[in-house]
Amino acid sequence: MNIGEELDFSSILASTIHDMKNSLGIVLNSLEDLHMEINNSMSSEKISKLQYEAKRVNNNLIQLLTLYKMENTGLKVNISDYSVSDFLEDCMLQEKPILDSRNIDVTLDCAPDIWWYFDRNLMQGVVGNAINNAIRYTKGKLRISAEKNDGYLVIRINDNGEGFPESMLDGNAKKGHGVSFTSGHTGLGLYFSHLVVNQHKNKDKKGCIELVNGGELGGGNFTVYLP
Amino acid sequence: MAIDLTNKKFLIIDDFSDMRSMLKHMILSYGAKDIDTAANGKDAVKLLTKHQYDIVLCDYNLGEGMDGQQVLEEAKFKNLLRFSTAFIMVTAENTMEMVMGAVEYQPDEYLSKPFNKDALKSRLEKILQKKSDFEDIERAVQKGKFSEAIDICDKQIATQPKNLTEFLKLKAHLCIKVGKYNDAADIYEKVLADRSTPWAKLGLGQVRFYNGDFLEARDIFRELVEENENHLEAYDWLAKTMVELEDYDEAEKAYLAAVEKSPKAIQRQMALGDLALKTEKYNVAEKAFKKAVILGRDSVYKKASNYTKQAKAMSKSGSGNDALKILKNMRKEFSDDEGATLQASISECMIYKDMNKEEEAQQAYEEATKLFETAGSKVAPDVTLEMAKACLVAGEKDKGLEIIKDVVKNHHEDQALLVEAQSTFDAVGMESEGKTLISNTRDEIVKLNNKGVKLAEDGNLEEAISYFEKAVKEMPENKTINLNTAKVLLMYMSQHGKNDRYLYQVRQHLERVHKADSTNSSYQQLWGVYEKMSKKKSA
Repeated sequence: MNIGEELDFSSILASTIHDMKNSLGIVLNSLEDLHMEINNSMSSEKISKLQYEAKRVNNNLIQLLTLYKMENTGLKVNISDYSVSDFLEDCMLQEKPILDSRNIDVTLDCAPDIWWYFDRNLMQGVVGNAINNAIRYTKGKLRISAEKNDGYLVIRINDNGEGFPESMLDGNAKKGHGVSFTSGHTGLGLYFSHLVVNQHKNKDKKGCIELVNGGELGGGNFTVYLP
Repeated sequence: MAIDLTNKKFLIIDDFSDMRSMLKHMILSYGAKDIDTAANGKDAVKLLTKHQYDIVLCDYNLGEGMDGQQVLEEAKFKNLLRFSTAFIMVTAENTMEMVMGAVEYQPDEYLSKPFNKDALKSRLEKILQKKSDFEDIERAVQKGKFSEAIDICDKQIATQPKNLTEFLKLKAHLCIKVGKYNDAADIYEKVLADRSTPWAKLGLGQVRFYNGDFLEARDIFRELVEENENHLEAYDWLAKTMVELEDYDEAEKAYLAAVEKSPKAIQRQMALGDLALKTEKYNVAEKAFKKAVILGRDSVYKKASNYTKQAKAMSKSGSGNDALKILKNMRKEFSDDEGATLQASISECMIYKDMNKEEEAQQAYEEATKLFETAGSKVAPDVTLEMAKACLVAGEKDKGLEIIKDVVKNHHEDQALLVEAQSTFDAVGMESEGKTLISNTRDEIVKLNNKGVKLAEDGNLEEAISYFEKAVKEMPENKTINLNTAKVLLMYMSQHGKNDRYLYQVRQHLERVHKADSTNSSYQQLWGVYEKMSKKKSA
């Protein structure tokens, strides 16, 4: 940008985000490399923590940018059809460094011939966010699954932790769940996920999210329905 | 068939050196060794011209100069990529960029950063696998062999592949290209029965458009932009449809809406500008062409006509002197392009006339005339019409009429060009004279063509040949005449055996048609006959 040009917030936002993403990319990548060089477990744990937090910053950036766009220019939901198993594999690979460093056992359960219509990039944000959250609460196991059910694609991210707190379970949760600085969660991730999933429509059906406890692994079960 | 990345050639394009080295390291870790990097679009194009890459990873944001989309456009325009080359656009945005340029110039995939090494590897393998699945189809399409491409699609579809929808989508698109609108509609309607998928809806709208059902097309495109206000292609089609329905205000609105969301798509700016010139909305035209000129600087879409049109709009708004400055710049930018210099002098002539500067106008006119005579048949038809207008305005009526008649003779079935020819007459107050000349000339050619066709149908092939050979000399660019000349030559050879001279002629005529219109279905058919004939034993 040149001095003297009108300061337009959205272009400032765009170029700053670009910058931040570049930096984060390098941070995450360097951490990955570092992790491979480290042999002792104390340092390894610290690096793992760094990776997790850096990923969270990245997720927050994505969510912020998306919500800003929704407010201002309308969300560009670009729906196309994709192989669901390829997609989920991608989401999982994006989290692989952290999953490996915490020795989390991940299973991916999705038939290879399921193709569905959704916005790949935005849904990657939703699933990535869910996985990242699950990582925090899981006790070592994670199960990502997808299947067709009654005209919906049902994606489940299930962990074997303590599960979601009562207040967050569907039936109890308010979708625009307020800010709680003590828990460290602004609810931004969930709000973002709801918005994205709601934008997925087919005729009279709309996408939605369900937070339940249980599933195959007994812990939190983040469930997405896409029409 | 597993994809092996180790033997692939990579090109990384990113203006940030840390990103370049990070990506390079990642790719090295896969065992690949052949990796080039470029820090900007210009260097990237140089490398793409020199080498053939398997995978190009290009950041959309490249700082000053070309952006990633422009690199892609240039690479495709200049045919620098193989059918199997994967061009991947890396973006910092997590929302997929909507189509910013023409559909043909889309990357194979968008990748949003940051991504880790394992995720990248998996994506690369999948993209290459997909490219290999579609390689044969791509090759046929590039050669203009659309029917063949459709056949390959059908074969694949019959095997019920996992990615069936991708093949269906491609097949429908190809059917539209060759005019098989019903087949395309079948596919689109089937998909739409299940869900209101944007690409299928857009395709159906296109089918309605090409079938002339403009009202239906309009409704479909309107629905599309209502459902997604960022569906840029839908705006383009809505605008085109409104032009057919002669609702120029709505067309302009559609273009303006799209341009607001995607200001860097130069072709759309040009389309908006042309529409605005036609409807005499000179302010809108000026703005659009100004943008096109700026965007064109780093792009393959740099065109002299963007400058002249900007100048025209400015002159019509009363800023004659500023318009002349634009033309001066244009002459500099296109200093070794005679066609551009011709356009500049024609435009200057018209602008001086509007400013009542008769002497300067005459000077410019003389320069234009000289250039026009030396350029001969190389001048594009729309510039030729501009020259004709200059002649008419300069008072050289016969010369102007002669030029326009020649254009009509050579393009008697090109509706758009005939409309332009008519508007040339309209602009100088010769509307009815123009109508008469155009329709008389058209009728002349149609009669001429029909006479030749009858000769052939009656079996007088030799006569038909010499008849058409004479005709094609008079109007060398006329597609119909060229096609029929080739056809009668082939008919003759099918009866009397092949001969090299005739074969050569057939090839000449068909290539001329192909150059002007690569999707022409008669060309496709005759080319097939030609190929068969050339393989036969000589008489």
